Amino acid sequence: MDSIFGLQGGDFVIIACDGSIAHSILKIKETEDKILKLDDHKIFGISGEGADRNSFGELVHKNHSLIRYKTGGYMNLQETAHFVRSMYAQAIRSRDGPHQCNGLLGGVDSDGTPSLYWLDYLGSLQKITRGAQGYANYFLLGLLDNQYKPNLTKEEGIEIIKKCIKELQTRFLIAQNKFIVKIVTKQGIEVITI
Amino acid sequence: MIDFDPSTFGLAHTYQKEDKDEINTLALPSAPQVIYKTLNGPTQINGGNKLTNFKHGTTTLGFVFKEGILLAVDSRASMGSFLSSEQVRKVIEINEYLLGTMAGGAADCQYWLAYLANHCRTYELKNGSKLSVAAASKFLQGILIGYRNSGLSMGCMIAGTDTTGQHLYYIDNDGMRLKGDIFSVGSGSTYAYGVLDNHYRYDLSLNEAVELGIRAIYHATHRDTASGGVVRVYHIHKDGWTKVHDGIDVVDLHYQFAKQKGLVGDGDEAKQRLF
Repeated sequence: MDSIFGLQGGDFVIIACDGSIAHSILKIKETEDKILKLDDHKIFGISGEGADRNSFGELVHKNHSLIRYKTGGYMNLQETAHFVRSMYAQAIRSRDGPHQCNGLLGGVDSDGTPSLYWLDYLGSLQKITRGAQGYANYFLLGLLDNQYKPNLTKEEGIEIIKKCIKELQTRFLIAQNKFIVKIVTKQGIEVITI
Repeated sequence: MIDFDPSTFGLAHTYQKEDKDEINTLALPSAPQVIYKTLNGPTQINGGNKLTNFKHGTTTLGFVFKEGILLAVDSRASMGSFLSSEQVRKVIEINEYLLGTMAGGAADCQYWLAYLANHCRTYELKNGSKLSVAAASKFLQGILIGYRNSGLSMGCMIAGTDTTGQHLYYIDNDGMRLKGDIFSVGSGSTYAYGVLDNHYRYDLSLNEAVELGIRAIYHATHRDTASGGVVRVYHIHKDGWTKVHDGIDVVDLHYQFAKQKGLVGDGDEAKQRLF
C-alpha cells in the first residue's frame, strides 16, 4: 500500500514517499522514511511490506558501500542501478525467493546528469523520467504524463510533486497524510515533509 | 437432464469422500519450495489482485461546468487480450435531451439505455412533459437494483438537460446512483482523474472544457491497455446535446501533445543507453 513516486528534471531528481506503516486496520506510524540514502547523491525509495523493505534496503546500502571500498571510490547511477538489479535477479530462484519489494532509484552523477530508475522485485530495470510504484501508478501516471516536459526546473518539479500528493489525497481510498520528499541535485540531498 | 452416475462409466473404484483415509499416498520427493508471494499493488496484469481487477475495459468521463456538461469517451472494445473493435460508440443517444455513457457490458448498456429511451418517450406522450434527468436515472437504478444478483455489468453515466438545468448521474450494476460534478468510469478512469482533478474548474469555457476532456481521455488511453481508439466528445447544454467531436485518433493526439512539449513522442525521454 506504499506510494512511491518520482520525477527526473533537467538537473535534479525527486522521489517522494508516503509516511504510513499500516497493520490490518491500524496505522502504526505516519512518519516513516521509506527513501534510503545510498550516498550523498543517490537515493532509493523502496515499496514493500515492512521487513522486506528494511532488510533489502540495508542489504543494498551495505553492499553498495562495500563495492565502493573494494573498487576504490565512486559508482555512478547506471552502475548502481544495474548492481541493485542484479541483487534482485540473484534472489529470484533462491531458497527464500525474490526480495518482496519494488523500488525507485534516483540520483545525480558527478557531472550533474540526473537519472531515475524503476526497479521491480523480479529484476526488471527501466530508466524513466517519471514513474511510481504500487497503487500510486493508477492515480499519478496520467498526471505525471500531463505535467512532464523536458528540462524541468527544481521549483517546477516540486510543484508537480505537490499536485501528485494532492491527487492521492483526493482520490486514493487509503488516507495518506504525510509525505516525505527528497530532492537530489549536484549540491546534495534536500528533504521536505509535506 | 441425464443424471451421470459415476458407476456407469465402468470405473472399478470411484473416489468418495469417506475413502480419503484409506488412500495410500506416495511420499513426495523433496523439492525446493519457492513461493512467489503476490505483492500488494498492480504488479499483475489481468486481475491478479481483486482490488485492481477492473472489468470495465474502457475510459469514459463527464463533468459539469458553467456551459453545461461535457462527456468524453474512448472507443476500444477488448475481449481479453484481443482487440475486438477500435470504433465502438460508447455514448448512447437516449433522446434529444439525454445521453448515456457505456462501460462494462456493451449489450447490457445498449439494451437498458434503449429501454430507458422507450420509457422516457412513453412518459412524454402520456404526461405531456419530458421526464427529468433525476427521474430517468432513478428509473434505471430501479431496474438495476432488481437485477442486482443476475450478473449485469454496467458502469454508466446519465447526463441530460431538463427544466432545472443540466445534471450528471453515475449509475452502476450494484444499483448505486450518485449525483455529481465529475465522474470517470472504467479501467482507465484513475489516469483520467489525475488530469481532470488537476485542471478542472467550474468556470471553464466550452473550448477549454473540450480540450480538458480530450486530454484526460488521451492520458488514460496512453497508460491503460484496455482503452484506446478514438476520442468522442459530446456537449450537453440547455437546448439538448451536440456532438463536438466524432472521433479524434489518440495516436495523432500523442504526437501532437509531444510536439507541444518539444518532444518527438518515441518514449525515449530517459535516453537509456547501455554503453
